Amino acid sequence: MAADYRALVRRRRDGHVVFDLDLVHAGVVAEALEQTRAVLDEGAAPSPAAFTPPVEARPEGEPADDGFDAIVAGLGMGPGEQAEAGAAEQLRDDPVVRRLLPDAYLDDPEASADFRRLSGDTVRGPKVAAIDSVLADLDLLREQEGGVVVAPERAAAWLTALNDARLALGTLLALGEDDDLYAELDAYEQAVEDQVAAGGEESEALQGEAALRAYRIAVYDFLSALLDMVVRVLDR
Amino acid sequence: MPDVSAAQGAPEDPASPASPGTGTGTALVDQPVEQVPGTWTTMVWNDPVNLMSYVSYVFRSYFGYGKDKAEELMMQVHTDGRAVVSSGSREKMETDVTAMHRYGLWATVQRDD
Repeated sequence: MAADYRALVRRRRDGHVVFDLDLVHAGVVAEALEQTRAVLDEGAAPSPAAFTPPVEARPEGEPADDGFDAIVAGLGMGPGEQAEAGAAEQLRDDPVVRRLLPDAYLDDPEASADFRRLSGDTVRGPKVAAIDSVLADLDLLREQEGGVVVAPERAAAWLTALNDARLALGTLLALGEDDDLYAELDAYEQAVEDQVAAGGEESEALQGEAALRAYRIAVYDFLSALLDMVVRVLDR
Repeated sequence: MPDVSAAQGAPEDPASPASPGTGTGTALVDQPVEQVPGTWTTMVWNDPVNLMSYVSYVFRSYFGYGKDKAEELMMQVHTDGRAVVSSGSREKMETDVTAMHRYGLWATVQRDD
């Protein structure tokens, strides 16, 4: 499988950027951004059910995902309670949270904690604002044909929002420098084909850990291609 | 000591649409005397996720570096695992690290010994 997406992003003569994703892609991006925002909002680790296929894309017979929201809600971490420094710091031990909101000092947890306390929401706030801005663009995109036209400053929000979703997914996937994601996807697809050829049901073959990882890789790959397009378009 | 003479201020800070005007580049013009010899640096670390095109774009947008300088720093991050992208007062470096974190780059502040 090779990444070959047509040009989904273009820049008009007046500098505005046009995003022209189809409904499926817009939905996938929105889903990834919402799950990334949930991590940022709560300062909580993503549940194992995060970044799973949306309900309508699920193989027949698989129960709908009610895990992520329920678990996040069950944490009882309202905005007020987040100020409980101890609990918040504990949640930051999750690799995804730490990647999105990293320490400012290497090997100096005290300086990092001081810095975090003083800098407050200067990292988290803008990240959430960027995600909300893109989600609003995606809502518009899904309501109208022919893409959504976005002013340059607002288009810049797509950069950090898409990248934060990639960081969250890449961390969940535990990506290494030399991982060949396409080879991994090919192997997964081959395994499904083999299972179906051997008389198994496709719906069974598509479930489980391997299926979840394959889905996450596919979303990660799409977000990467999209981000690269946005960078190139804004770079002119 | 890294060459930061290419810094020309920051024309824009796309990472923070909600708070314009906070990305102020890193031109090292007036380093207070009391900062010497305590110079601090902003280090950007390699990670397997960030796209090379994106990292280079961030260096140009935020620091105002030219294309060559940005590419050189990006490649240094990629091949050496890290690169000093700015230096100056501790306060300024914390501002730069905050900006890098907003962009999603993995950056830290350290004293330049």
